[in-house]
Amino acid sequence: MTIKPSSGIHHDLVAATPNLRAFAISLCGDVTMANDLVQETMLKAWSNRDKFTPGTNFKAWLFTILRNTYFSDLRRSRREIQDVDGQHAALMSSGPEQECHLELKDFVRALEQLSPDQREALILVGAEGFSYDEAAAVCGCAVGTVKSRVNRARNKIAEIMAIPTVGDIASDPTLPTQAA
Amino acid sequence: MGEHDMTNRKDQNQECPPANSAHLQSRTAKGEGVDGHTTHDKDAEHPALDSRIQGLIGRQLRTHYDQLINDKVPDNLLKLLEDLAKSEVDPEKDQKR
Repeated sequence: MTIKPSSGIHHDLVAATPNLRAFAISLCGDVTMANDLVQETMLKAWSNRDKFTPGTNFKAWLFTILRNTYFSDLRRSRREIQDVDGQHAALMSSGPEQECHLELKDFVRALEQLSPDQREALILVGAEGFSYDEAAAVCGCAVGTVKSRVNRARNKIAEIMAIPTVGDIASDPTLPTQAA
Repeated sequence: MGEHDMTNRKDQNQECPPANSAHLQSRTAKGEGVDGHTTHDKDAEHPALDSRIQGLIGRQLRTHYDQLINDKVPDNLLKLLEDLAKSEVDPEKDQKR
């Protein structure tokens, strides 16, 4: 039986597909768009398989291709970035009774309201388990930028979900917790 | 997408990182756990959340993400990978022609 040169990469691609897809869905917020993005990433990865050094981080390499494709498509199509601040402000002014939303669907809704940069950083570090260094390399930015985005993402989610912080117990619940 | 383009896409090379990128030297994707760690970083524009909230967000994030990972991969994606693998020329078959 002939072992084809790229059978290893084929196997690694299949193995990485569920994670690639999860990452794509998190970035796009749309399953159909995500599937198209994953398809495009697979084609690019395959076409450029000679550029990958065996033994190095294959998943990081794939993720880099996917997110670069996503963000360049985003810039090209000039899609409107979700009006995060507007939505955020609307939530904060919802009235004196701010229920704490801790259900998963509320979390997902909060996640969708993050900017793509913040959502990407949070997913890479908090869900995929990349280190800050690895995430920075995937995103093509400084490590401090990743940390900052992750921190902002968490803060924003906490605010959107109205999770009470220790300091809120004595304070007025209608006031924003920290400066946005 | 209809026919799969099997040729090299040289015009899209910039989206594929070069082989000697520093981050690709790490062998696994396992990073430092962020459970319960507060981020004391001068670059952060916001104060760190306390570890309970960070832990809560982390758990919900992973629960949500695990659901996405466990979602069935559409057949067309798996078929694409098979087609790509088959498209590679078999050197042995070539010699027998």
